[in-house]
Amino acid sequence: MSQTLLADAQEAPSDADLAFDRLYRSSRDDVFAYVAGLLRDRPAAEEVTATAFERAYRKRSRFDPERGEPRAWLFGIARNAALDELRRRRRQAELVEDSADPLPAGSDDSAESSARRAMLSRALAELEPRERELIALKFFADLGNTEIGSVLGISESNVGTRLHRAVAKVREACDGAP
Amino acid sequence: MERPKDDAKLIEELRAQRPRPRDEFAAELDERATAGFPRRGLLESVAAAPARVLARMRAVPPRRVVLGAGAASLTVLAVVAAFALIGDNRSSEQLSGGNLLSLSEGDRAGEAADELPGVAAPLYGRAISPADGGGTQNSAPVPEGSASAAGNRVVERWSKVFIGAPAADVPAVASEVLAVADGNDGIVMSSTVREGDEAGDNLADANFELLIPSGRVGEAVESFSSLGDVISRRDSTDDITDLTTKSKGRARESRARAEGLLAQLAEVTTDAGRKAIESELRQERRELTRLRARLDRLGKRARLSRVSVRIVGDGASSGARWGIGDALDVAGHALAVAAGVAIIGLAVIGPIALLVLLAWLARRAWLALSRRRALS
Repeated sequence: MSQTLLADAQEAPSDADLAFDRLYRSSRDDVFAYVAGLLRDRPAAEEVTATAFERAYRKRSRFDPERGEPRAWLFGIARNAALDELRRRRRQAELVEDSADPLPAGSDDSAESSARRAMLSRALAELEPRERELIALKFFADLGNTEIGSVLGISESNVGTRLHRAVAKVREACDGAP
Repeated sequence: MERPKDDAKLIEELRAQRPRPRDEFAAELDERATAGFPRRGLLESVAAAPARVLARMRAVPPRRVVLGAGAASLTVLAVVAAFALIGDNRSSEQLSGGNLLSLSEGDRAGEAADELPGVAAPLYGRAISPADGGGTQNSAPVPEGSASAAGNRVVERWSKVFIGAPAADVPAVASEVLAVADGNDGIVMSSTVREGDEAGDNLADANFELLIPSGRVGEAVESFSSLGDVISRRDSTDDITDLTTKSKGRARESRARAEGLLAQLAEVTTDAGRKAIESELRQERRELTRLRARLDRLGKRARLSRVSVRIVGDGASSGARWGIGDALDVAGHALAVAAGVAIIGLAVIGPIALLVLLAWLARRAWLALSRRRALS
């Protein structure tokens, strides 16, 4: 992803274009990871990721740096797109029972490693969607607590508390697994 | 099997679970980003829109459809009822207009009669006595179809007629103007006639400022127009209903205050108290008189239309056809028309914009709520 975006533009890219270019390059995989972690459906995650970047691109001139970090803004858009997808497909109930494994299977995984991955995947699937979203934002998209608070509209300390609770649940699920 | 025992290890393992995009998807997204994220399959999307809408409509539960239809029907009914009520209120204001013309303390009987259903007369159908306490007089009724009475509105009207005639005929035409004015019970406010011989340069013209009963002004202006070649004619109206209604309301309040003071005066026992009340009463009566005078003027403006007639002889017509005054008149008229169009446009667009704004806010709120529910 080293190419410069908007290379075909006839005019010199504006500041907003350049800033968006940087944001896209730094966040593409993170956005996908968050959306896939939330939806647990790769095709849908690809669609939503593309939609999120499209929306963000069209709104790029309206971004106000004084109101927050660009990444938080982008993830807010991605979150809305993901929630729209959830609403549209009415997949909320299905997601809980979703058997599709969104996790990349390492080619050199040992049997033990594969088992651990499967265990974690089940633990994540058992989480409440809101908790899974927190995990996805924190550990898949690598957002800080402040950014997560901006995306979800809650305080930074609240983010910390909820994250702790979600991680504890994952650990309990792993500990309780056979 | 070893399980994660501490948070650090668990977090490390969670990070390892991070989904990664396929290379093909990443390349495709990069390509689209380079192209400025063109809309995907716009034509296909538009073509599929009806099917998508149908599918969405089918997915809506019948209960919601019934609720939505019910809400829409109620809204329409409410709007219709509101308009009907507004119309009724305006009609009642007009019908009760005659009451205020009998405000004087000595005219209780007339007031009572005015309040009887069917007895009330519109403001412009009565002659108003400017004298305080003079009561009301009934004048000859204004014929139906009077411009000032149209649609229960109180309307002031004026006309300007500019007539060309042979210079030698100007005095004769001027006489006919006076005859037409007399024949329509008009009042001549001012008149000037200049004959060509007097001026010595063959210029002749005449100017009249007339007051014609509004019910006959159309007929009178037609008669004026037939006296010569009409160079220009302009009719204008001004709706003074609101002004009249407000004045009536204030007069009604003033009368009520005066009646209250009279009642207090009857009960007061001390000289100082009586003097104070009498002072207030005098002030209130002055206010009432002022309001009556205003209503009187408004009534006259509605009952009698101003008509300006100008006759120019052949020699003067070309030079007198256009002047600064005429240009200002036309400019003022154009501005008034433009302002009227703008106000009507705002009156139409404003409510629609408000409805659109409300719908947009409602949709936004609904969207936020349904997104919150999507994760619950």
